[in-house]
Parts: sequence; C-alpha cells; structure tokens
Amino acid sequence: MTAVLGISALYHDAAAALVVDGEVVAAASEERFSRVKHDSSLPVLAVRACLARAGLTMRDLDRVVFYEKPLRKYERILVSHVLTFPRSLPAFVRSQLSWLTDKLWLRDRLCTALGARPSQIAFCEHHLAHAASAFYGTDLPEAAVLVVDGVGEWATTSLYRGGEGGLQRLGEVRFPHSLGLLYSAFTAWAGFEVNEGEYKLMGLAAYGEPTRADDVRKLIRLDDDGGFELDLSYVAWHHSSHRSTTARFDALFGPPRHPGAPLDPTTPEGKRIADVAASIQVVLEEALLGLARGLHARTGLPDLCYAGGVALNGVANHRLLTEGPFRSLHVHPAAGDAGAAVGAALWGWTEVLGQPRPAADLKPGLGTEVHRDAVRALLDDLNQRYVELEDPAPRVAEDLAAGRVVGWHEGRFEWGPRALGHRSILADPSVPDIRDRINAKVKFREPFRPFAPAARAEEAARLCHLPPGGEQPARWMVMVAPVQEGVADRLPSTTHVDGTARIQVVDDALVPAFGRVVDAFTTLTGTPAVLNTSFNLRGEPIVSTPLESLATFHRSGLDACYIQGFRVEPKA
Amino acid sequence: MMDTKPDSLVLRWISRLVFLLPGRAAAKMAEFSHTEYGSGLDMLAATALTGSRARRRLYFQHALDELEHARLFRERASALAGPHGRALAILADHARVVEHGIHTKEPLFSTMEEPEFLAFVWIHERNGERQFRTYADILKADAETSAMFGRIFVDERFHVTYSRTELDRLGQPERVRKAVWAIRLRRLRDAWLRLGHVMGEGMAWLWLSLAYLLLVGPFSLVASVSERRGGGLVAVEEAPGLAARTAQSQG
Ligand SMILES: [Fe+2]
Ligand SMILES: [Fe+2]
Ligand SMILES: [Fe+2]
Repeated sequence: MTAVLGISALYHDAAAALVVDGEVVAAASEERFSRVKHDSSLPVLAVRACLARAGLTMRDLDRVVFYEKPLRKYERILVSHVLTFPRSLPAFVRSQLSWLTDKLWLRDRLCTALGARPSQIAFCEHHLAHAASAFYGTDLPEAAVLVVDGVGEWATTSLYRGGEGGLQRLGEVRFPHSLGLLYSAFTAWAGFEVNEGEYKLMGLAAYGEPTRADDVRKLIRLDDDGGFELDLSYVAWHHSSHRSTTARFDALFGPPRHPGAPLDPTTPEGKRIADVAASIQVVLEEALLGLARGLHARTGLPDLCYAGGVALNGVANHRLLTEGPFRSLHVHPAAGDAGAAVGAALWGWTEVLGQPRPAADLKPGLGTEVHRDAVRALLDDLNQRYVELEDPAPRVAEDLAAGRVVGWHEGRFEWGPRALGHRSILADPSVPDIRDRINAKVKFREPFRPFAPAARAEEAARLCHLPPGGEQPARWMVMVAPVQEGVADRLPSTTHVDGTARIQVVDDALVPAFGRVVDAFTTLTGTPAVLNTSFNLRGEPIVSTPLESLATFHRSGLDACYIQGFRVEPKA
Repeated sequence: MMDTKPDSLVLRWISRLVFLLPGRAAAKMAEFSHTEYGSGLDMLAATALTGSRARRRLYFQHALDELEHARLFRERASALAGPHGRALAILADHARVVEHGIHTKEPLFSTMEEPEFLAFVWIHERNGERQFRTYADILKADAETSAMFGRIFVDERFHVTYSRTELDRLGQPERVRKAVWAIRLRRLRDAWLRLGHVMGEGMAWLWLSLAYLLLVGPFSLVASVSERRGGGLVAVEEAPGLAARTAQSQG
C-alpha cells in the first residue's frame, strides 16, 4: 500500500486529499468540518477525516505534500515590498506578522499539528499542484494544461504540457500581472467580497453590456503569444494589503459601489456596475482565448486541462470551448486553491514516488457519510417526524411536482464548491416563482444569482447549446451555456436573464442516486430537469453531516428534507 | 455565549456614548453575529457528542436558536451599516468566528466534562443576556432592532434556565460550585491572554515598522534600478521531473 496526503492551507480555502494506491479515496475542504466559511487554517479536521476514511494513520503515509513552496512565496512578498517602498509599510508589517510567527516554520507546524515526520513532507509548486489536479484527474495520455489564478509563488498564469514524462512547464506570467487578481479587483470595486463574490460579478455581467470593454483594455496588453501585461498604475495589490485598485482606476470607472448599497441593474447606477462587470468578463475571456491559442500553438495537442480559481468562471469556459482551439475541456471541479490539495497528492504519487498514472475517474463524493442506522438513531433522539423509504426517488419527484422545495442529503459529500447531488436543495424549475421562494426562504441570497438545472445528457443537449466537448465540464457544473429556443419560458427559474444556464449533466457514473431522482421527476412530470442548488444558508458552508442538514432544514423554509432515505418533515 | 462585559452604570454610559459613533451599533451587531454563530456550532457539536438523549434535544434547540440569532444579527448589521463599511467588513471576515476563542478545532464539549460544559454555557448565557439587555436599552429608539432583541431575549431566557437546571441535576452542589469557579478563572485567563496578544501585536508593529524603514528602504534604492517587473509570457526551459527532484525543498 502506498499513500500520499495532499494539503492546501494558510491562504484561501484549506483542504486535504488522500491518494491510496493511485486512487483519490478522500478529499474535503476544512470549512466543511469547521463550519467556518473559507477556513484557511491548517486542515487538521479534514486530514483526520481523510485518514479515517482509509483506515490509515499519519505513520502509514509515504508522503505529505504541501501545495506550494513557502520560501519562494515569501521571497516574492519581500521583493514586492522592497520595490514599492514606502507605500508598502502597512502591508509589509501585516504580512511579516503572519510569516514570522507562522508560515515560515511550515515544516514544524505540519509536524506538530498533524503529527507528520519531517522526512515525509514535500512541497509542490503551487501551479504545478493546480496543473496536476487537472491533468492527473483525467485519463488523457497527454494534454495541454492551463493554470490561471490570483497568484502562487511568482506565477499567476502557467502553461504546461502533460504527458508520459510528467508535467512540463512551458511558460508563465508572473506577479503582479495577474488575471485572477484583476478579476477580484473588479469584484471588490463592484462591492462584492473577494474570493466569494466573483460568482456574483459573473452573474451580474448578464445584466450589463460590455460598453466599457475598451476602458478595461487600457488596463491590460494582450500579446500574440498569449501572454499579457497589466498597467500597474491602476492596481494596488502589489503594495497594499487592503486595496486592490488605485485612484486612477476609480477615475476611469467611477466610484466603487459600497458593499451595502442596493444593487438594482434596472437603475442607472446598477447599470453602471453591471456594464463594467460585463466589460471585464469580455476582456477576461479575450485574455483566456489568447492563452488557449498560445498554448495550443506550442503543444499541438487537442485536449485542454484547466485549473486555478479563474477556471471556475463558467461563462468564460463556454467561450473557451466554442471559440478556442481545443476539442475538449477538463476543468478540475475544485479549481480554486482547495483543489490544489488533490493536485499535490496526485503529483506526489506520480512524480515524486514515480508510480504509474492514477486510473483517473474522479468522483464527486469524496467527503464523509453517515450510515443509515446512525441517521435513524439521530432522528429518533431528536424527536423528528419521518418516514423511511427504500427508494426515496419517486417520493422526491412527487414533492417537487407538488411545488415543494426539499433538502437532499445522500452519500458522501461533494468535493469542490458545487453541490452535484449529494448535498442539494431541489425544486421544480418550471414553477415561475420558485426562484424567489428559494431565495427568500432558504438561501437568503441576491436575486441576480441564477440556480442550476440538472438533467440527463440527452435532455441537457435539448435544453442548452452544449458545444462539442461540453458534456465533460457540464458534469461538474463548471460551464454556463445558452439555453435553446423556448427553454427560458419552460424553465424560468433556472434560466439567467441573458438566456443562459449553468447546466449540470447528471451521469450515473458520478451521482447515481441523484440520477434516479431526475429520472423519476422527468417521468412523472415531463419536465426534463430538476433545479439543483447547494444545501446551505447564505454565508455558511454547504452541510456535511445529517445533523447539519437537520439544523439547516429547521432554520429554512424547506418543505421536507431527505437524509439517506429518510424523509423528514418540518416541525409541526 | 458571549464575552463578559461588566454592566456597571459607568460602563453602560460609556457603551451609550460609544454607540453614538457612526457605524458602531452596526459593527457590534456584526460581532454578535459571529459570536452567536460560534455558539451555535459549539451547541451543535454538543448535540452530537452528549450521551444524554434529553440533553441532546435541549442542545439541538439551543443550537438552532443561536444560529438563527446569528442570522438576525447579520441582517441587522447589514441594514444598519449605511455608508460605514466596518460592519460589512466584520461580517465578511469569517475567521472572526474562530478569533473569538469560543470555537476552536476541538469542540468545546470535548475539552471538558459535561458539568463544566454546562457551567460554561450557563455563565456565558447569563452574561450574554445581560449584555444584550444593555444594548437593547441603548438601541430602543430603533423599533426593528428592539423587535429583534425582544425575540432573542425569549430564547436567551430559556438558555439560562435550562443550562442551570441541567447543571444542578447533573452535579453535586460542591462540584457545581467548583465548575462555575473553574470557568470563571478560565474566562479571566482568556481575557488576560487576549490583552497580552493585543500588546504583543502592538510591539511587533513598532519593531517591524522600524525594520521596514531601516532594512527595506536601502534595499529598495538598489532594487528599483536593477529590477524589471514586466509582464508577458516568460518561456521556461525545464526538463520534466525537475520539480520532483527538489520536492523536499521549501524554496
Ligand atoms: Fe491558486
Ligand atoms: Fe443567542
Ligand atoms: Fe444564547
């Protein structure tokens, strides 16, 4: 038995992933256990859960691979501060406080917090970890690999060729020139939380016109080889820890939106923000297309593997596939930093230990689960009203057909930020006001964020314009596609204002139980899709355990909650 | 479960004055939102861990209440925030749940015996209720905030009474008294540690600022002449597998 643990921590979303004999047997973000959104602390709880799943202890591991080279990152931060003296004083002090007390002693911390031995620990370059998550998560013998995020050590964008000899780096764009940080800067300017609000900015873009695209292009020079350079006079992330844009930026696009201000795209002020959102979206897509063409020209390979936080931009992914040079697109489902834990583990397995490529087939359900008997005991203990069902799918279909909104908790929880049918809130997408009901009673979230339809592959193709190769990213809900004629009227609650949908192709190889729900609902009603959104309340991580599902259920306006085959009713 | 704030008359008046500062009430609501959420998590963990079926139900109800309070405070904070971004920044800073020292990697319940846990809950709830009353009184002119506090008080009363009842049921009077004092000492120690932390950070700021001026400054003169920070794609000639050979290195 050979086992490698991958760890992502101390920057954005901490996570742990375990590869045993070439298979990713467990992976989870720390926030799913600590219940602290975007928890970046050392993923002690996630590590514990991964090891427990495989019945291993720390001593059994051949390697523990951290997802970046900390000293190289430290060097980048120091150099940036030196070059932006004296503006970087507050940022310098703040970063030193965390580096000197914490991050510089990483090897020790991993040993004390996790019980690892120094000889077990390895460090993987950040973009290499992202690249490995995308490439080694597929069964492609060779592929072009693109990584685009905020920043790792120095690289903000990296091109790789993946093949028999491993991952070979071909080129990179370096800090402070970063597409991820640029998109986040616009996110902050639009009044959204960075690392959280990027989805909102993308959703808002649908309400605007890219009338300011030429202004955004003033910030970025796109090269013929796919590279790019930012005009640093507009941005501040290389010398400030609390601002990402400068006064010059505000002079160009107008004052930033206050986070608490109402956002109504039908007002002139709302339209101003939406137009800028649409403009940065278009320019981001242009930059990504340039990178894809450059990478294709260098490698001549037909398939693209893609990771890094920017790869979660489903609208851009659709354009990459329809207008770009690649025939297929494989986005790692946890494309953000959490996913680099899987990448670090897979890299450790293949390249450090020299083991054969994993048999691929990443499944979404890599988290924890609770046995039916334990769920029954919990429900009894908490005096819940429930019925036990051998096959809950037909009953779920009846509930949905009756206009009910239900919680759905089945099997191990998903890897990555999307609920794919293990921890979901489900509804009938043909009910016109269901979107507002879910928003008002359950999700408490902004009305301009659309919900996703989940459908079988054949139906998905009838609902949306899926480009060739589009099924793969749609299985992981990382692509937004235009809907077919008439679909907007039939499925109003899952169609965005610009006539697109974040379609999920439901595949038995990935989520069989959820597939039965979709089938039962389609058979009963003739509606080919189920509305699927993550099982959580606003500002909270997606639920993990049955107890958390119950707690969320009773605090929301959900009409029923299915947990491992038990249908639980709301309190009388 | 809240932090203790002595509610003497003087402090009440100080609170009143502080609350007149723009954005302060909203910021306080935002902080409450995090503490209530942290308490909710601790009670949820207690629900999962306790061996008593009766208390499991009580803890679960308590958890639901606190999580709901967290949402109510969050909504009030957002509504009161106005042009002052501080409350929203606090809300967005999810790590604050942990910083309050209430919620750590190990659930509170598993760090002590159940009587101690109940003593902890009881003391925190009692102090929390008093503290809320102070703020509710200060903010009584705001009808919506008052209504929210009114709703929360009902729950808080229940938390205080049930935790005391369970505590008395569970422990000998002597043990209960000891548990209560142990928790009081623990809270003093936590307050002391927090103070030490704030002071330490202040000193670190001073020294690091000095280091910045004396060390980074001269370097920057040399560096700015020689360093180029251009963008564009940098081609890398690298044999595959090179990274694997230096896997042990942090740099
Ligand atoms: Fe990253
Ligand atoms: Fe409370
Ligand atoms: Fe309480």
